[in-house]
Amino acid sequence: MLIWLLADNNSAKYQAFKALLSRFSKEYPDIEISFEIKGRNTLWNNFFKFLRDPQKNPMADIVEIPHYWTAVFSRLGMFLELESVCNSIKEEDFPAFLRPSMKAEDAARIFSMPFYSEIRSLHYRPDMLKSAGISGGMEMLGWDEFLSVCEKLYSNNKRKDFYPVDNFNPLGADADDILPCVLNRGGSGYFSADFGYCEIMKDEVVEAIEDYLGLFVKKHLPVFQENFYEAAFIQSRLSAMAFSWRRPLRAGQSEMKVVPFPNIRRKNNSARSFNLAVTCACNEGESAGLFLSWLLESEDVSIFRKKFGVFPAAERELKKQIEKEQGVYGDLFACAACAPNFSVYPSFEKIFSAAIFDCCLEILRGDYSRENLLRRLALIKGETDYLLSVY
Amino acid sequence: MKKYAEKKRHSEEEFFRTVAANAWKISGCDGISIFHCLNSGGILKGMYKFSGGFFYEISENLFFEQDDEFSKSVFSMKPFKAREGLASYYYYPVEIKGDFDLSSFGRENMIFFRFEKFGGEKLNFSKIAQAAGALEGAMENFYIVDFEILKTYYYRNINSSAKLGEIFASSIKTEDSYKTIIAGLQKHFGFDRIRFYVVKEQEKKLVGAYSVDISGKVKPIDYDKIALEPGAHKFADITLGKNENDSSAAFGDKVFYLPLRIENRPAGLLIFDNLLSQIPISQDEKEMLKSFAAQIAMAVDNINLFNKIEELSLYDELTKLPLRRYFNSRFQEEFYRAERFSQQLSILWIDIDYFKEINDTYGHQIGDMALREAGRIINSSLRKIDFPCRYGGDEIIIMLPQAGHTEAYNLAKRLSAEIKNIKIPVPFSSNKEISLSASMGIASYPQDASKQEELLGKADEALYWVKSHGRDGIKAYCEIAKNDNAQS
Repeated sequence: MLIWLLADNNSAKYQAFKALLSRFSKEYPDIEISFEIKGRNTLWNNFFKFLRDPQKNPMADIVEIPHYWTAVFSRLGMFLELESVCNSIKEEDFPAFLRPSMKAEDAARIFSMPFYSEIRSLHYRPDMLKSAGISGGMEMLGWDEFLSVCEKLYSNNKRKDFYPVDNFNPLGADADDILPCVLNRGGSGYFSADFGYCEIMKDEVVEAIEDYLGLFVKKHLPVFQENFYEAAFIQSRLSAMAFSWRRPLRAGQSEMKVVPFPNIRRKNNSARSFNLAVTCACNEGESAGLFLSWLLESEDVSIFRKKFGVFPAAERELKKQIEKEQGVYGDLFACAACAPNFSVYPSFEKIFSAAIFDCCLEILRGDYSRENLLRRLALIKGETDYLLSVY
Repeated sequence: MKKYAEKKRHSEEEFFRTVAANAWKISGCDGISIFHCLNSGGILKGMYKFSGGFFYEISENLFFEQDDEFSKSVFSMKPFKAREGLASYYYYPVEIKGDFDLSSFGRENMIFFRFEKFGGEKLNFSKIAQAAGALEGAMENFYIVDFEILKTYYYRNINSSAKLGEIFASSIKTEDSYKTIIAGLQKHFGFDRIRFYVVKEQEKKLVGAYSVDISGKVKPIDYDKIALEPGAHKFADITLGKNENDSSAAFGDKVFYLPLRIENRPAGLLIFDNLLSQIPISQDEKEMLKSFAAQIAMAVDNINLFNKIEELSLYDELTKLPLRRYFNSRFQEEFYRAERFSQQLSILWIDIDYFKEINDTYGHQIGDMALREAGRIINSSLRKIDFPCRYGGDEIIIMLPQAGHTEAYNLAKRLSAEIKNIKIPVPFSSNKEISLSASMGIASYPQDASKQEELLGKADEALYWVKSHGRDGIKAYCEIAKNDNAQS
């Protein structure tokens, strides 16, 4: 049985997953199980190649996907209904904010199982902030206050490669990164409530995109940089803060503090999950079912998650984790909300991220303009609304 | 490396996996990352990494500016050291040699290998030098990868050309020719969706024929009709050659329009899209599709021609009703079906009253007009399973499967009323217009006859009865038989 695991910026995930599989193999020596690491684009392209010609293109038995891929690929017949391979998966075992990510958009059937979850927050080094004359108040930080913290840090640091905030995303920025700013501005996301049309041209969404890109323009956040986990910019005092989806980072001896993503007016906190799905190419449904059931029950999974700093997906485990950490995460998860899971969202996310990438390049070359951004957003809206009318 | 070079088939990923694993082992580094250099964008784009025994794709972009270390290295081909945070890096540029144009595969001709040490540790440059030497040697074999890629493309193209050529050539013979073409294109190219529009010259419209989705499911889109006039619609403009594919416009390179033309005459439009997957349609695919355009247009033209010939041989040009020969073969099939499944089948025989007199008095042009109008009314009044025919002169027969004499009588009454509403303008006559009426005879299987010829004969007898009893009426054979029996 082959698993395609999503590539991650934190390579600790691979070692941890390898260890997880070897523990499974000890319990089930008769099941042959292995994994390959696939980049998000490759995984996406491989799905479409397989759909076009299943005879010529290989496919894994189990795949790890971003939560919002469930609807489109289950609709295209790519995933098996999970109840048919694993009857221990129950929707109610997962928190309410993750449940929509398990299903196809128009059906009650479950096609993917959340494997781990993440939530957006702001991490900072108290010592670096203190030396810049900033003490306390980070928990209630509005967006403008956050910008002034960045200004203070920037002006207080002489190193030319210093950025107040470190960038977790080596590609610049994407729809997930910008979503908390949209929520800050009072928007509910990039789409109307019924997912009938794209709201990317609405004032609050445009302003939210400008909020985030503004961090690049003001050099508060690097656009592209070397891998965050490997270069350890915060540890070497090249940054004092970071937007992270994961659990507290370490900065040398001292642990960093975690507060909500700036702007307390926001009703929801951006969360996401990475799910496992059994593909229609799977000939070992029983083994796949056993593996998923084992993941639901096994204590070893928490070790895997801890190794690369993500949160549990199952409600019971998540509650336990939050209680144990006694930090800000209880409040964050209490109003967690995921990007929606419907057929067109992943295509929109790709179109949007490509446009944001172009904006990032313009910022680096010094020819970024609001007009260019608006022109791109208008094209995105047109294309997405058309996709919504077709799919 | 030699062993690797001996392999007959490699993919790019396999190649880099072997190369990076070897460099990692020799150099004693924590990781080896591979970037390709997009000179045009000033970007080093992360491709793969070998670290901790794992080989995986990375999503790391690095921007280089004029006169920084990266750009100097790109132009001088010299490696350089960099330190970022607690990581030490050594960037090693390698030019890909060979006569292959790599740009069409999304790569430019320079690769950067990055030797990495984390946690503040130092790089061992003597070991790195050894690893770099091995890398240089290995990269000389990179052309094999490209050769394999080119070969795959080449064979795929040849294969597709041959198979699609067969499909286009044979599509004239198939019942659903457009469907065959679109399904063939999808099978060989594989897009998220293909839509096929054909030009209806008489209607001056571009009409949807079929659409096929990623799973190969073909659906009719005949509801989609576009006026074929400049400015009416983007599709119309492209079909008429007024608007070319523009990859910078909306949808960019995810949609490709292929207008079909025959001797400068628009024949149709094929629209290929990858909007759901957002996978760009490559230049290679576009060129190949363009090379098929003439063949597809020819096939469309052949299909249209074939349909026209078929129409001429099976249909009466004046009334647009099927001819007797076509009727006979369908009558045979339907009669057999009625016998086999014990179903009813009726024949309604219609004769336009005083048609000979109309022809003689007002001329053949007026006579033709009368027949044309009668044909139009009949064609628009029948169920899908009914089958009319111009049997000869002014006689029209309608075969009514699964209908007894009551259903046939009801239809006859409706037709009779509509025929009476026909007004043929005769400007040179004092009446200025003439009205029509018709005599109709009905016979039904199995009540009136048990054989085909007998059924036609009985309907003719019923018609004769009406004609001999003052015309402009309807009679079912069973009524005449009843009267005859009563009289005897």
